[in-house]
Amino acid sequence: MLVVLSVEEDKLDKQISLDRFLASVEARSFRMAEMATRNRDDALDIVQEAMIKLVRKYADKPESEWPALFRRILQNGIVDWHRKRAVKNRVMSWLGMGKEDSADESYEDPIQTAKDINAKEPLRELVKGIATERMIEAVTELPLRQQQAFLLRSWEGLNVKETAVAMGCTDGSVKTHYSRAVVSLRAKLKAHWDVTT
Amino acid sequence: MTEHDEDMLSDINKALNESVQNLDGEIRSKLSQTRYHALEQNEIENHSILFSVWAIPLGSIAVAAVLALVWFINPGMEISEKNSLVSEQSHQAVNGGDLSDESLFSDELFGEEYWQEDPDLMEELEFVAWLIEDEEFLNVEPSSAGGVSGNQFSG
Repeated sequence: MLVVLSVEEDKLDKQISLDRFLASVEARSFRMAEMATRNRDDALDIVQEAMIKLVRKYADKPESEWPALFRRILQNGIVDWHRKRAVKNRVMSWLGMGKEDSADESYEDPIQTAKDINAKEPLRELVKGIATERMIEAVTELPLRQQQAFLLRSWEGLNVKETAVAMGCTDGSVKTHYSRAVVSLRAKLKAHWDVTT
Repeated sequence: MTEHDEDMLSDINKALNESVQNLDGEIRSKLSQTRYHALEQNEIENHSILFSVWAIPLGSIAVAAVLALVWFINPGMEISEKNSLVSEQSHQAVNGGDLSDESLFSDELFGEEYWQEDPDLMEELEFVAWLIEDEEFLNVEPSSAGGVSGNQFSG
């Protein structure tokens, strides 16, 4: 009976630890998935699947391994979503029922959706708000692998090796994706940067 | 990477952090639900695993307990049989309208064992039998009995 009680206690502790861990990563994970999918519901689905997978398959792993595992599951989920979407788009375009668009490319015309940076804003705060919005938009518009590399390296603060593990690719690929992302962001945000600074 | 790039990346990170902090309540609530759902799945799985692990030993213990209970109850079967006989005969007596003392205290129901178990009742019954006999004796006509009648005592 004591053995059963101690087992139950361990399970309860694990549940609490899992809850704490998932609560700490859920918002960031959702934001990442949202930027990758540009769809809130799909982003929520991806996060939910990642959580369930972690809890079901890796709950027994040491707590210190959870962040890396969760990142890997989440990034795989995002890539899978893009693959499915690409296949769906191809089938739809073949059937002539929809327009083909690449999962890695933006589905909106950036010129149409870009903010008018030359617009004269009376308040500097407003300009800053727009600049913030534009920065997020610029990250969202990055091709998927560049976006993943950028968010994991720059936002999550992972090193090249950890990023490679999360993305399931080589260190060299991570470096390439990341440097391209930075170059792209620099080009996109240069005008904003000049205005706000 | 230039200093300009570092500033830019720092600003982007700040913007991303702000966007996370400013997530609306609806999304936060949905994320919490998602988290609970995931943890619930784990709990259900744990319970099923726990059940499958303990099912065989617990089942064996339960079967053993039932068998032991049956074994302990078995000697008491005679009593329950006797009780069923009493209830059956009482039922018959009530239904047949036979509610006389003889039917209620018949030897079929109360054998010798019963009297041995309760000697006081036996004494009382002897007393009742004596009273009945005495009453019969008192009711007998003096001429036919040829003895002293009860009226003589009362009178």
